[in-house]
Amino acid sequence: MSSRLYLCVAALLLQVALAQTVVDDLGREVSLPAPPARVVSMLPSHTESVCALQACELIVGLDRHSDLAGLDGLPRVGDPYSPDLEAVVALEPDLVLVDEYSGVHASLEALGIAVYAGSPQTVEETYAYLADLGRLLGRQTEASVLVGRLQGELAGLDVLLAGAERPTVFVELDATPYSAGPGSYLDELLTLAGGENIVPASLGAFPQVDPEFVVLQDPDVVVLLDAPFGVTAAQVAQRPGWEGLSAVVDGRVVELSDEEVDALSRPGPRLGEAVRLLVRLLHPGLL
Amino acid sequence: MSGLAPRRGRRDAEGPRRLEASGVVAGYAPPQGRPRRPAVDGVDLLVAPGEVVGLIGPNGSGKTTLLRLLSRQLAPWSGTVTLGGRALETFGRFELARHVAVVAQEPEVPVGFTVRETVAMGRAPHVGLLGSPGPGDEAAVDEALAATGTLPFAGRRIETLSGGERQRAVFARAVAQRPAFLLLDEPTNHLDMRYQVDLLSLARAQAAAGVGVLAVLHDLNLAARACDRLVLLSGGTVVAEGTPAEVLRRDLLASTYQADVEVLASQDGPVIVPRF
Amino acid sequence: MAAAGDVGPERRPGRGFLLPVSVAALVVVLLAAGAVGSADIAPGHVVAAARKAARGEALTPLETIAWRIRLPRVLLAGLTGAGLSLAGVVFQGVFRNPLADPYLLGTASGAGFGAVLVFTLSASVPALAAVGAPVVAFVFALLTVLLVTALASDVDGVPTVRLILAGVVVGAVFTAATSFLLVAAREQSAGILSRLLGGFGFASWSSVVALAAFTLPALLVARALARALDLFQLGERGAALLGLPVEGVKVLLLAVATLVTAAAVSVAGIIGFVGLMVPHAARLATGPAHARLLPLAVVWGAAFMVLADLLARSVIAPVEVPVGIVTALTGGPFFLWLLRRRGGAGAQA
Repeated sequence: MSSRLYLCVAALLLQVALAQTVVDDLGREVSLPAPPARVVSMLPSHTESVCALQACELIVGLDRHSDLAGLDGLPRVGDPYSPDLEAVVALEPDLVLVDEYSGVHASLEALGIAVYAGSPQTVEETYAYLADLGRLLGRQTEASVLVGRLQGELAGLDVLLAGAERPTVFVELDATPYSAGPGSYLDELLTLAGGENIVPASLGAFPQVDPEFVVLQDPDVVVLLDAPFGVTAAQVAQRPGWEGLSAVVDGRVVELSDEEVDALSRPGPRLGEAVRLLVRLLHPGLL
Repeated sequence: MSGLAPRRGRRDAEGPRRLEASGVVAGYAPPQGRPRRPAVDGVDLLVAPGEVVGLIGPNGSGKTTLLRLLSRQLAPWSGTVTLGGRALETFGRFELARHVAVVAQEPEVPVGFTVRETVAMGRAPHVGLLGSPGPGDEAAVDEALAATGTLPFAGRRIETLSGGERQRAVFARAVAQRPAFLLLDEPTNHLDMRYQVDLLSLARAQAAAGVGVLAVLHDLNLAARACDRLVLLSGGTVVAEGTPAEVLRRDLLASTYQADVEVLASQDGPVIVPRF
Repeated sequence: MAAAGDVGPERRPGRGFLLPVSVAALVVVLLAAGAVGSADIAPGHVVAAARKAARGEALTPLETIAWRIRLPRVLLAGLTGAGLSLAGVVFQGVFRNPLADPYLLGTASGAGFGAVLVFTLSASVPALAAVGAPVVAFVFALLTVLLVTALASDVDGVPTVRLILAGVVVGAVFTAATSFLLVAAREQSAGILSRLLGGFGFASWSSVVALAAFTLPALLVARALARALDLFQLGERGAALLGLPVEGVKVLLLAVATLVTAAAVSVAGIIGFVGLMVPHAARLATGPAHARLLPLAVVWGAAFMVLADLLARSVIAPVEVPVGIVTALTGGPFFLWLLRRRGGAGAQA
């Protein structure tokens, strides 16, 4: 046989060998002998991503927060901070997808189960994550298509926003008030959507902000991610000194729904949807 | 509440002349399901101005209960306690405290307050709840400090004093009340001999000044020397009453205390010596 | 033995100047706190803003901050510090216990539970959101104290020891219930915890007026009963023998102190150490007589809280640290120092 044939076979074998090995967010090498047939997901973003990669049928168990339609009948295994380990083991999964903060991966490892521990926190990480997940699940093609589509969507929005004014925005995660600053996924989405976060980089990714600061910055738009917890635009208008905010006066205090908050908080295949949502809020009439 | 109106000035010449218990029967709440047993079972007792009455008897004989009845810390089941002929219940709180002062067995120490400030608290019955101390009250405090020899350490914090000095300060507080009657509940327990004599001498001095003093005492020899009159209690009733010589008799003491003693006569009165 | 030279009632010369000096210091602290923040504001601006607001004119953002946010915040902090210190003095006096603080009867636990209930159930029960956390917290604080008092009551009054025990038990139950709510509402827990730990972030003029309505009468009542508080140091029996209506005075004092504490916690969250530390500090400076102790503790408490809030919002401005954390961090070292000092000078009776 010619050396070129050997090279092709070698490349193919290498491709197959490398196909199911990725490095997760904790630096662990996750490698599977074959594409998994039974997958348990313990994060809603993992669930959404697996389904976006056309691998929904592999899922045999879910965390209790995952709410994707069509998967309601599946057994629930708690969440990373209070996992139902027995339920996980009973499902005999080939792969369990968890987060990198809770430490649940250690318990699963001890039980001899293959675990991927990670979750993307930025847009770039999202693309890399989808690619990795594709490799693990044997859905590389679907992953490339998905990533390509998302990049295309963002590029398109970028063109649309060229030259548009960038409104200043205050995102409120909680009534204390807590906000999201540069370094957070939400902030990145905001920038991609043509908005400017009033929280500067010096404050960190999740600062508790002095209410005075918001009044001083006088944002054009206030986005309430805590609306599902009962915070309303009317309440915001009643905070001392806030009644004069441009956002309040112009009626641009937005109460988000549960669904919308989910889209903005779960880095994954809903990236495009999330940015489009923000563009509609910040630039009415543009889309 | 009659106690809110402050009344200043020296003890009235018309102050109450008798603190008297008549046929009092009293006790404490029994444990669940047990019958009520009186600690004091039909006692008559009179304290008059200018005398020192000693209340003696074994543990559980009702001495402290009787003192509590006389100071309205306890209400009798039957019988009466009167002050100047009036039933005790008819007195307002501050009013009663203006006439009757009590020195408890182990009084609480108000940490951080000076001796003078502590003695000044004795003027509370005269100043009332919302009033302020006046010159009359200052004078009373000064007199009390002088009379009890506590002036030298009037500015010291009370917790820095020795036990004996502290008891003198507490006594001074009672003196500052300018009461007609002074009730002492085993005031000399835990004190050195020097301070025991000290305190009882102060009590005698008060009696000499016209106060009626009742002292519950454990030490029979102290009682013999300090008191004009003794009342011997046993099992809630009065067994004997009279001068120390009359009451401190071998047969009486032996049957009351269930212990054999020797009574020696001396110049100042009987001396009680336990026999082994 | 009496030491030579111990004649005379005065303990330390110059004690009479302590209160006026402290009041002056408080004024300075208030002005300074009013000036510092996200935007530096001169006192002149505050006055100008006040005048414009009185005439109903629109305010610039800077003036809005000065008049609507900064000033109410500083005043609320001052009132809270004053109220908690007052309650601390009263509790320490009535219970004759140096470790007593305003939260002894479970007030804070009840208020905390009420507030967290509102935070976690606002979405599903709009009525709760409409009433607001401070009111619900206050109601629960009062319920807690009533419960504690009822549990501890006896035929002839409310025995002190039983009060403390009941307070600990009821407090523990409410704290557990609050923790349960926090765990159940995990996504919100960071924010809720922050608010529980105390803050004056959304202080408004109405909250200032509301707190003042509780604090000022409490000050008057406590000051009027200062001598009664002194008498309490003789023990309840000793005080009663001097004619004091012990049970009545005890209930009145505790009621007043509890109302102030409940109001403060409802508005500002659970701020620890102030009610414990400031009375001790003031007592060290001016002695245990309550006529002098109360005013000094109140002034020092106000100044301390205003400073703590200033620190909380300026140390990593404009990020805020919950005020309760600042007071706790300063409380620990203070206690250590106090223990070392007291340990040498003689134990508490």
